[in-house]
Parts: sequence; structure tokens; C-alpha cells
Amino acid sequence: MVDSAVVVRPAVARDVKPIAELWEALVDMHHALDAQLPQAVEGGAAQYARRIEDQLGNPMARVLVADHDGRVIGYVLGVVVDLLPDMFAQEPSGFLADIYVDERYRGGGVGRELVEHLSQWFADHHIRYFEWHVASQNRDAFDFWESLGGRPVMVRMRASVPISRIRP
Amino acid sequence: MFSIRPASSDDLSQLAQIWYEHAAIVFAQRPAILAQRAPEHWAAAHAARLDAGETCALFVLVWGTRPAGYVSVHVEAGRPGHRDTQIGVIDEAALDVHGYYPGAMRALVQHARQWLSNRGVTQTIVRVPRSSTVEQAFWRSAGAKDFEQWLILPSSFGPQ
Repeated sequence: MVDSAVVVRPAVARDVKPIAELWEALVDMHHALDAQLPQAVEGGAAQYARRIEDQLGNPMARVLVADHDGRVIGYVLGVVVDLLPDMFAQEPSGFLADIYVDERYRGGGVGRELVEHLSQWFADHHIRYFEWHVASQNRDAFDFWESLGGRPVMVRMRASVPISRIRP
Repeated sequence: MFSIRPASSDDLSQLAQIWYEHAAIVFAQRPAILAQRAPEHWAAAHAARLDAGETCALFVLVWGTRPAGYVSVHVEAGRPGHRDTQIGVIDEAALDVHGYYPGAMRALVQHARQWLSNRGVTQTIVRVPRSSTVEQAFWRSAGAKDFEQWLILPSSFGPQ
């Protein structure tokens, strides 16, 4: 049950900084789960804030925040994407790029509320499906997504590239 | 027995057919339907890549005298704020499903990784169908590790 003081709303400019702080926590959490997952660079949060700022004016993107008494405790970023439309008879689909809820507020339905609002926005744009990536080591996230009915379709794998150079 | 070289426009129609048969298997698990004339669109999309310079490449594996497989790779910017400023992406790699080409896929992948390495890329990503344990096993044997799962959900799941 979502705390009645939590409101999900579209992000505005003043939310960009707290969203970037949540993003930093997300990156740290991922790296703690799996050292393969990248760490943030110095100033990474500022770069991310600029990205979010850009998305606020993008009609094909949606940034939502969970606001608890004026404090941003979670956010989700979704975008409309095309999947090689010439080759697939699939209408554009949605991509959930990032989602994070402050760990102190988890388990109360805030994440679900964010996803439902984003899903509604996708549906309003005539998008039938949306996709996202989950860190393989993030079991809590899997439980969350499975509870919503998410279905894994692909595995993203990562490998180091040999440093040695070969023939030119 | 086989060689690997950059693809040319003359290869595209045969590679498109290889792609099409592979894609039909890959996308059987997703709500995407291959469009009519999809191979022709694939060939057109990859024709643009042939002249795209240093950021992407298409290599063809020639077995005997005919194309029997390919790998398509590109370099993209890392996610904003992350340490990897660029990432290599193996977009597609496929072999003709009607033949047996031992060692061919490994050679294609090695070629693609070396191409990336020559451009200073240190990490590469590939996406593999969840349903294809054989393909996953291949990539693990090539040194890849799972790092993300790709999930899908109907937009209608919530209270619309």
C-alpha cells in the first residue's frame, strides 16, 4: 500500500538534482551487486542531471518522480523507441531506462506506482509493450518485476576486449 | 577453409538471408513480427554501414567461395556519467543455418573483438535470446558474463 503522502507526478526542473542523487545511489547499488557493472565517473551525477534535464522537454520521453512531502524519493525514466521499423512489423515500443526508489521507502508500493504511471503514459502513446534491463545480480529487482508480470526475453552479456592489437 | 573480410555491397543479399533465418528464431520470443521484405530492408540498412567509417563494421565469413556468416559491430558512447566512455556492441552475429561451420562463429567474434580493441574499446556487449541456452553457452565460453536481463511487459498491465 502506497503511503498516501506519496504522490507520483511528472518531474520538473527542480527535481533534476535529487533525481541525479538517486541515480548515484542506483549506480553504487549496482556496482556493489556486481563489480562488472560500471561505476560513476567524477561528475557523473552532473552529467546525468543534464541528461534528465534534456528529457524534460522531450515529448517522446517521460520522467516521473515519487514525491513524499516535497522530497523526491524515487523516479523513473521512460522513452519511446523504434525497433528497426523497416524490418519488424512492430509498432514503436517503450523503454524504461532507469528506475530507483530510495531504499528507506521500498516495499511500500512506490516502485509499482511509478511503473504503473509510466505504463499509462506508454499506453496513452499507443505503445503496447515496454522493455527494460535488470542487473542479473539484482534478485530484489527480479522479484519486483516478476510480481508485475515482466517476462525475460534476452540476456545481455559483457566481455572484455583483448587489449593486444593484431594486424592493421 | 574460411576467411573473414569486411563485407561489400555484393555480399548483402546473401547476408540478409542469413540474418532473416536467424532473426526468425531470435524474435520468436518477442512481440515483433518480421516485416514483409525484411531481408531487403536489412540489406539497405547495412549498406549504409559499409561506408560509416570507424564507428561500425560488418564482417563476412567466407566458407569456400560463398558467404556463410557475418558479424555486425559498432562502438557507442557509454551511459552518461559512467566510467566506460565507449562500449563495443556486437549487434548481430549469425551463420547460415543450413550448414556446419566448425570454429566459424568463434573466429568471427574474435575478429570483431580485435577490431574493437584496435579502436581502444575494452568492453563489449552482446544480447542473447533468453531461450537460447546454446547461444548463451557459446558466449560464456568466449569469456562473456551475464550482466543484465532484458524484460518485457505489456503496457496494459496496470490499472488503465
